[in-house]
Amino acid sequence: MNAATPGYFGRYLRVDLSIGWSESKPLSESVLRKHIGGVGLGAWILREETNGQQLDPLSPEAPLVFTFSPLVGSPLTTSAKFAVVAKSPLTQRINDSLASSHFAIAGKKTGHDAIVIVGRSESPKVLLITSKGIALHDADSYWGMNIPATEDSLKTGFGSHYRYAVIGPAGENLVRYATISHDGRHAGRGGLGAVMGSKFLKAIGVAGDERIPFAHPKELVALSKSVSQKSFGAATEKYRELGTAGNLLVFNRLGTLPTRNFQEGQFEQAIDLAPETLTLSRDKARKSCAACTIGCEHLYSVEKEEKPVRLEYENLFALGPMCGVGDADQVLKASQLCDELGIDTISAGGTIAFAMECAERGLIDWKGYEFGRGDTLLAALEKIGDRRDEGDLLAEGSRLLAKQIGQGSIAFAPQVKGLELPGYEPRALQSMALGFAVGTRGADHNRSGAYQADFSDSVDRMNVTEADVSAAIQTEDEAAIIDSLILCKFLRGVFEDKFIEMAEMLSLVTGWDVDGGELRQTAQNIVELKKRYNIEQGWTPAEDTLPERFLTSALQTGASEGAALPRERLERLICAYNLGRGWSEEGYLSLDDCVDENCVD
Amino acid sequence: MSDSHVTVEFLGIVRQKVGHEQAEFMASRLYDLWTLVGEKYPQLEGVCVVQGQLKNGYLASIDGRRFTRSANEPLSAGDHILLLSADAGG
Repeated sequence: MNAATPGYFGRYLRVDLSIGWSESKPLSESVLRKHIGGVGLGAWILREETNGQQLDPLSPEAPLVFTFSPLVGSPLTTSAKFAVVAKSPLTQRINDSLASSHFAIAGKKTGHDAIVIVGRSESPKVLLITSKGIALHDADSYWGMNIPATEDSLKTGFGSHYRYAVIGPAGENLVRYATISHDGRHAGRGGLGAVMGSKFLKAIGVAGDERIPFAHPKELVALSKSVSQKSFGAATEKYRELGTAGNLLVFNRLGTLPTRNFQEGQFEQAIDLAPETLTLSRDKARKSCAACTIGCEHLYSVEKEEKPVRLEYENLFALGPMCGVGDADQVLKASQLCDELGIDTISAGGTIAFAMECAERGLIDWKGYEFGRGDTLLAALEKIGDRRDEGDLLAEGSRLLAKQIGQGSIAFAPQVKGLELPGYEPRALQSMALGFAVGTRGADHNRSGAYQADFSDSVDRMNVTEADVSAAIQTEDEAAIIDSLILCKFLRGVFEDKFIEMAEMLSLVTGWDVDGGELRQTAQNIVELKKRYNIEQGWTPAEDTLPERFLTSALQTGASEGAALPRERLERLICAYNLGRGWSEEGYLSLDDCVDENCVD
Repeated sequence: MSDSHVTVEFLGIVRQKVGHEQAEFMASRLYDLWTLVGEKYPQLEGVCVVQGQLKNGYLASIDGRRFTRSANEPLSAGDHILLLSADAGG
């Protein structure tokens, strides 16, 4: 144990499932300070463990990295988070997914800053980790169970003192956008549940009693109280009162709500799905993540007396307007089904919506695939979960499905680098469009918060220029630090200066003399580290773009009518972004990274 | 500058506070409009608007196409002014 660095244990646990062996590997103070934890530390460990190889993400050798952070276990609100980092089977690029739950606290208290899983068991297993070591148990009886049933059975079988991260049938069946779930939350994007499934690992249970030391505990408690107090204020009111689903009617009014596979920016039945409406007719509950004072989770019942369903904006957009489904019961059931099967709602909705458009255009002959068919949506999700019938193709995601369908369908497959777009219309939110295009894990609203610039008076959201790219860089840098500390992004509004205040948190936990300037540099380093991993995995500049649809057609309806993003504009933005990062125009970190013979300095 | 007839649309948590979707006002610029909004809806004064200005965390959109926070923004007859939370995280 590295006693000199409070907030850390200075080591990670490496488990090889092929031989049932574990070992502790040291993490130097220098590595920890440069990468903090969460996404940053996970990216560093992934790259070290990968050692330059281009591994199939579903191969036994491919590492699956769970990382905690120095803030985990502290009284700082929203800090009970962990990251899962691996090469994505959906994108073949780096993927870092975050989740909040007691798994983070229990996992860290095993005495490790990270847990790395390599190898593959011969049969399904449950991995239990304590401060004393690991144990592998047969999981045949759990294999095939959905997520709630698995969690309940594990608690009965091994005890509720363990905190579990589990996969559902989708992860077992290697659905390329399967999630890893725990306490009803998901590390959702990029298919890391399939990576876990490929290792025959049904669940990880963690229970630890190691004490986590903090450098300045009194000051940390005082700061934590102050941040918690601010978290009850106006900056998080939207999340407390309506939840993220409160975006729906706003986006609809602004014409930025992706509808029918991004053919439109406005959905005529949005009001039927909005939380403002759902509240009137359904039982509603509110929940918080572990160690969170915001409480953004809003749950709605499908039927009276039934367990309510958690509804987020992204679930709602992807399973509702994106598929043209305006029946709230069907959307809630679809969301519940994704939670039970362990499926990323954004990629599922995006891929099904893409199939619906392909069917309506006559490119495929799939019965019932029409926009608005909630019954088709529900049936498709079931089929994806067990890769049955067309579900086997849908389970591949929209990029690979487009490859199968051909006929130019890739032009409207809603993905970047294979990752389906979240619910932000890029033609009408052009800072976000840039963030989508250059994101290392693909189209993503969590690693780039560039939509914050679009929702401000600092840019013309329908005509963003090279002068505006600093917002995309700034929000990406902020996310790199927030995701490495790890804190909830919904806290960002409570900070006056995010870097300075986050540096203070890190200093109080670790004892390091970190300032805002150092954190800014760390952010750039983490973004570059992820980019470097992608370059080693075969990234080329051609990947940093958007689907043809967005570059060749304008929005036709709604408040954003006429919004267009010509290819030349996006290319100029990408070039300005790369230069702003200090990279080459094409996005290489240095000339040595370029393997393309056409690459110029 | 003469007053223009404009519509304020309340979105998201602002609509929750007000209890309805929109209201009509006569104003020549946003400063006057926010003053009138604060008077008509005391529950918004000091929360979303304060003395003719938008508070941090809130945003106005002219006809859903252009965001502004400037109190000096002139208004034209028939404008729809959207009043919403500036946080679009989802």
